[in-house]
Amino acid sequence: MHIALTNDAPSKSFRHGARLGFTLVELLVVIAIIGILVGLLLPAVQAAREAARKLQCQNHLKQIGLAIHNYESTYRALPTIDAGGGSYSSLSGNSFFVSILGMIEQASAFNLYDFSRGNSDPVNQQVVAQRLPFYLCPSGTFPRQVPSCDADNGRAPGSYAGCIGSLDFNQYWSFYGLPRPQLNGALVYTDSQPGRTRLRDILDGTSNTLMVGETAYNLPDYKFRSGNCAGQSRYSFTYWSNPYPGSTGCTTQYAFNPKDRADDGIFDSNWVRSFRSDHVGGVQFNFVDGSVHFLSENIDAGVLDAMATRAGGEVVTLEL
Amino acid sequence: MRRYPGALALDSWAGALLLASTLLLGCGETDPLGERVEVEGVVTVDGAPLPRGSLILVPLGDTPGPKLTVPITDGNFRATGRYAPVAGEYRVEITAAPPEEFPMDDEEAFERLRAANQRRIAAIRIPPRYNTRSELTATVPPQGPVTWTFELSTKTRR
Repeated sequence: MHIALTNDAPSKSFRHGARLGFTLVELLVVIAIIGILVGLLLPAVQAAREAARKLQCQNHLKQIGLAIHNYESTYRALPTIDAGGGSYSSLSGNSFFVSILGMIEQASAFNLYDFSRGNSDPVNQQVVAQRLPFYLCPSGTFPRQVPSCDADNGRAPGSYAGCIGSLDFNQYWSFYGLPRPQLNGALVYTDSQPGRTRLRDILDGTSNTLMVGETAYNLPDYKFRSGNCAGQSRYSFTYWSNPYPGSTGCTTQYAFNPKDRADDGIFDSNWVRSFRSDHVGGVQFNFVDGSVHFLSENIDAGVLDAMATRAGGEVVTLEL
Repeated sequence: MRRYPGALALDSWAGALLLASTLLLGCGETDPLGERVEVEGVVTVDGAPLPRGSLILVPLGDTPGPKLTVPITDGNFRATGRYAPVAGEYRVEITAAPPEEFPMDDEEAFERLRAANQRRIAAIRIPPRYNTRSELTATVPPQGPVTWTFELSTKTRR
């Protein structure tokens, strides 16, 4: 094989007594330049990946919204946050995510689920242990294995929750001697006033009222109180099958999209009942009309509350 | 062009400075809502400090931003850093946490209550005029720190 550089006819660099190849400095310069370029490129790639995950998350919310509308066309009412449960308290029953399983192409899971029993009942274990991809936000990270503790009761996590309005639901109301709580959101608890909502109750307009929003496993100071994991970080209370407030029913009464830093001594237990996400700068919501919008975490409290209520009579237009 | 002995060194210093300033650009985090003001204080209910609860600051009028919740422990609360409010008018809502034996995320509570045939939970009940229908307002000045005292009464007003 005849290679020009090793030919006996010397190349220009050989003639001047110079070397073949690169010096260390040249190599370092090239590596440094490549390093800087990669350094510039990497955040852009990561941002593009997060944008794709956020879009997927938006799509999941859209699917859930469609399923709720399918439910509405069948039963002429929006699903309630909690349902079933038989002789137990209704909060031990199932969440609206279980009620709409048949509308989101999970008819077999829907048929397998026994609505006369609680969501933690061993009979329903097979259904509630499923990690359903459309109930999980791809941007969400799980700092712990879910389920892994006694209190998880073998239930798979969720990333979304219905909006019960600008007021919280105190499930112990009758034990406090309080009147039945009024809920002003699009989706309500059966044990509240009113116990069920229909599309005609959304007087503020379906495009101005929140229906389903995001929750996330991002509260390290939220701890287990009992069971084998007592004292460990629980991060979130959300299991898609569990209808408890803070699990699949959230409110705008408290801080919006709270950020919790581990062991900084600042944690409000109400944050569990707030909408929050792992996206940068805000939370995505499905509105009653089926549209999905990203709301900035710096949104004015009055605007958010106006959108959370179904018949508050406020004049609010979402600026996009 | 003639180069002086120190010229290269000066160039590389300027280059390094430029690079460093480019890299550090954007590291200074500015709060989109403005300067946060540290707030602390005391909440008492019928004269006794509120053991556990939350103070919710709801921005009023032109005050920007979302609600803030500040935990209350043994009657004391303190909002610092990004948990602190910006200057402006706020409506103050104060809620009590449920008793320690019946936390909000206890899924066995109803069964326990039923088994014990218990119909009432002893809990601190703060009247709606301090939370959902709150008339308490507070102003956060542009300069802190601020100390607030809220003396709540569960008795009905005359």
